[in-house]
Amino acid sequence: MADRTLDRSIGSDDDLREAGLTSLDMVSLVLAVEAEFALLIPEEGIKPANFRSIAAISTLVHQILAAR
Amino acid sequence: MTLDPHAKRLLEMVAAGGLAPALSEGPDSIRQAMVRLARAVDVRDVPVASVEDRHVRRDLPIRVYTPRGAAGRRSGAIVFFHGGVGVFGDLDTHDGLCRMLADSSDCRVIAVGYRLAPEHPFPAALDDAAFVVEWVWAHASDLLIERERIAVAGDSAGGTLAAVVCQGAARTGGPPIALQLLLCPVTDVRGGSESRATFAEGFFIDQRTLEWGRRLAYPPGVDLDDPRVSPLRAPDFSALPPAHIHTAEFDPMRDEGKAYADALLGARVGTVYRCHGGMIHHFYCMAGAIPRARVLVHEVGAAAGQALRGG
Repeated sequence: MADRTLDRSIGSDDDLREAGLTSLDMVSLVLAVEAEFALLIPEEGIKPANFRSIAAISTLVHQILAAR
Repeated sequence: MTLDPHAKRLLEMVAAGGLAPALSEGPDSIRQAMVRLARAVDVRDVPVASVEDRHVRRDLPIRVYTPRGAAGRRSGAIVFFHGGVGVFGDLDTHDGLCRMLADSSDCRVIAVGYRLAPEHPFPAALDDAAFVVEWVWAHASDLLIERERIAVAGDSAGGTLAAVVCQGAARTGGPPIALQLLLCPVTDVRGGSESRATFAEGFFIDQRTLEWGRRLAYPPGVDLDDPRVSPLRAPDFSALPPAHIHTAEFDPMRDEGKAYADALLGARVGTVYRCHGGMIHHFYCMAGAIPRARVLVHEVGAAAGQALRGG
């Protein structure tokens, strides 16, 4: 996702929106995370803070997988 | 109805992304974002006999979709103009929709990559749209298209183009158009309707984005009441081709689509109007994420094909 969208590397704590992620890209990002990890992100999980950075996404994915 | 659950989820994702693509960064940012969105939410698995990219002019590409049922034989045609407030959208962002329309209508679909603003402000897009309709008419036999079965179609700002091309053809004796197919069309760019206010923010296309596009597409000096800009403001609708007009329940453009249908009906133009419950603007291009959209687009295309065949 990141390398397709952006022309420079992103650190795990970098703000994805500052790096150029748009609100439309959030759709692609959420769907890509769900596809990659074979999970459904619950409604309350789809909020800006959970997708602020790669580290935040990682935390979210771990939480959802741990709750299974 | 309530908002379709998949559409609702999609809107939540857009909202989680915060502001719309930085409009201040210029049109290329949102153009690219729309292409990436299409990669994520468009359908890709719609079978067609062939897809051919060609040019009617050096700066005017078209994409011709031939459905399986029309391979090697003549068919009706749908000339299609994509949406994108006149600033974004292209042949790729609406590829899945065009495939579905070709497949379900059994007609060839000719998608038009008309020139975009602000590089090419009004009336460049309209000139291109009218040019391609005349070109298709003139080249119908080469394209295996039945001249008496040519529809003009578009979504959102492309719906504006389709409606205005039909008005122009009726006024000037242009090519006879058998059907106008309008999906969530913008028919009044001033946008004073109730739905524009109700769904001004958080329903995929925000008022802010609409106004930004309007400023770029229609520079100062262009009269927004000109029927070529706002086809709902035309003085007369009586000589227009039959229409299929589709709106979405949770769409800022819902009321102006309905108003256009009412105007045509008032002028005794054969009109089919359908408001798709639970749907949002652009649903027809997001069938990969909104399963119901695929069913609805199939119905839209099948009805258009049937109308073109005189059914």
